[in-house]
Amino acid sequence: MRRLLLLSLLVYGLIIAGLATLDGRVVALAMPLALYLVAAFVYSPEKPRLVITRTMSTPIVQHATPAVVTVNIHNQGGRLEEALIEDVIPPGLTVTGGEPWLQTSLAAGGTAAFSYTVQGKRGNYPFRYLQATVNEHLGLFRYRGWVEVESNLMVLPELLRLEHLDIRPLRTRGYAGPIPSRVAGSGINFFGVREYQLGDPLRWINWRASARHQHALFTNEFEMERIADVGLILDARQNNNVLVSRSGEYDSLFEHAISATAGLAEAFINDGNRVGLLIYGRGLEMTYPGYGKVQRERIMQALAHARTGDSQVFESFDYLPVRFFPAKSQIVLISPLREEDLAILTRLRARGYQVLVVSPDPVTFEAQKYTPGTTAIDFAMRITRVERELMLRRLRRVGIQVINWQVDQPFANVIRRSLVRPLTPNLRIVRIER
Amino acid sequence: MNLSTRLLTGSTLLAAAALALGYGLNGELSNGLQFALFFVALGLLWLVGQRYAIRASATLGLLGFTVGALLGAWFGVESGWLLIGVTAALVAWDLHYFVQHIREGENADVEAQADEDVQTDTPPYQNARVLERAHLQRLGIVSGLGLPLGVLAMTVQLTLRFSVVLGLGLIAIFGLSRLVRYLRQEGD
Repeated sequence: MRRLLLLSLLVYGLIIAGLATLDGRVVALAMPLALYLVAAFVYSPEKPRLVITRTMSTPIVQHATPAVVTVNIHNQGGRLEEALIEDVIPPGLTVTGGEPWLQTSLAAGGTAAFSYTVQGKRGNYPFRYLQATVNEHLGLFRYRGWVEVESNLMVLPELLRLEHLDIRPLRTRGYAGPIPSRVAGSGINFFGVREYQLGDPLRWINWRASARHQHALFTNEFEMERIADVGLILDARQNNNVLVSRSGEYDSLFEHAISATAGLAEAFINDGNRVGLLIYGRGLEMTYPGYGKVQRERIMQALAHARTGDSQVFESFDYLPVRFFPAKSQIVLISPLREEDLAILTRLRARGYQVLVVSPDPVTFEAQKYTPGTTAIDFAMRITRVERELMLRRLRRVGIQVINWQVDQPFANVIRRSLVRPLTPNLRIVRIER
Repeated sequence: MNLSTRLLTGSTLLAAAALALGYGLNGELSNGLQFALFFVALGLLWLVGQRYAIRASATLGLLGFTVGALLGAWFGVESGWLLIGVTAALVAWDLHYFVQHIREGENADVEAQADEDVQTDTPPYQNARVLERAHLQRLGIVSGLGLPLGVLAMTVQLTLRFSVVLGLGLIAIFGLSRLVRYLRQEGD
């Protein structure tokens, strides 16, 4: 616009000056400029009629995986000498390949396409508008407009791969699985000894016990292994989140909690368990219990959308919908924890739930903010650590399994130390004396 | 892009040289040399602006050379030099924006990739080249016609009555008001 204004003012200035001084040479100087202006005007673009479609290589991508966005343009109007089509990329996504725009000429009925690659952190990214700018070759007259093309890209959370997790809920489901069910039957692990019944395999007879009784035979019993109901609770309360600035970018404890939840969900689902998810904080975001790959996708998508919230209603765990989880099932709470959460966790335990708390350590995480060596800070850290350790001890005392995870440690290692069952449980190391 | 860049530099130097020569060769003007040096300096400043992609330098360059040509007409400088100067300044002004516009976008990639011996038949290269060719073609026609039209306007002598001059002036004002209205609509 400024170019057009400048050129027009020069043309008019020269013509008016020429007329005012009755000097034809001054008017003649305006001729090249005037011709330029007239040429631009003659070829000025009409309102473009563009049909634009945007397609994603995949609408859902794994963490740190790029997605290819392709934009197809179809010109349904007259010829466009120069068209610049720019895609508006949602904040949070980074272009890692190609360019999100195309500058080209489009004949009447002509088509063009461009593609680029984007990558981003966990989240949902709605694409909405493209900006189309058309102008004639000299670039004086242009038409700019927005084209609404809705599409969506979802980036799933980072998945921390875990091995089989050893949990022991009080009640299991009827299908075979990897979790000891506290019921005798077909299985691997020794459960007890009972009197021989007709039909018992001979190799199950406990000869040592039978030798002690003259008229009875005894058979070994094994513990049945079943699948279980697992309820994951992700604490998304804003007050419990800790943010630490690292080289201009914020690292959030909540993001670590999400990655842990994703890893746990996948490990439990891979074992065949029925898994549900409750995200507690902004509201109650529930993913109802289910099995298999479809459930895995549901949980991952719920985690991709998860945000912290500061709802006054859900400030404490008082409104935890306990009936969402089947009775005596396994509950896994992923939370940095705070003192007032102990009461509700104790109540859950009292109701017969097997509770496991995975607690990303907020004290160590927040300690990164401060420079160690200052007496006051060191002292404050020690006090906070002691308070947290006491809180965790109180939880352990009521029978709740607690994993204190310092997020700079690999989650898989922490889990392996606390939960992973050895592959050969009955194998013992025997010292041979010579 | 190389062609456009070369043309840009060439047209800037031509504009400066034409006006400098016009003023310098004018025997009637006592301080013609100072004016000539001023236009050389203006041209060099514009070249620096082009090197560092300063958009304002294009505006100042065209404005400076056009006002210089206008003053030259009043000071009795040879009209041919003035016309060449204005036309060359117009070409430089246009190419300044064009080169910058292309560099900001596609050509930033093209130049970065050119070092890596990337195939030059990929769409970004084609688009940049096609647009450049079309732009230069249009600019060549406009400036090629503008120059003889200016010469024609200088040679044709018309005697206008005051009422005609007034009428032309009113048309010019009307046109200007329409232009301002158009620019306002564009701004909205």
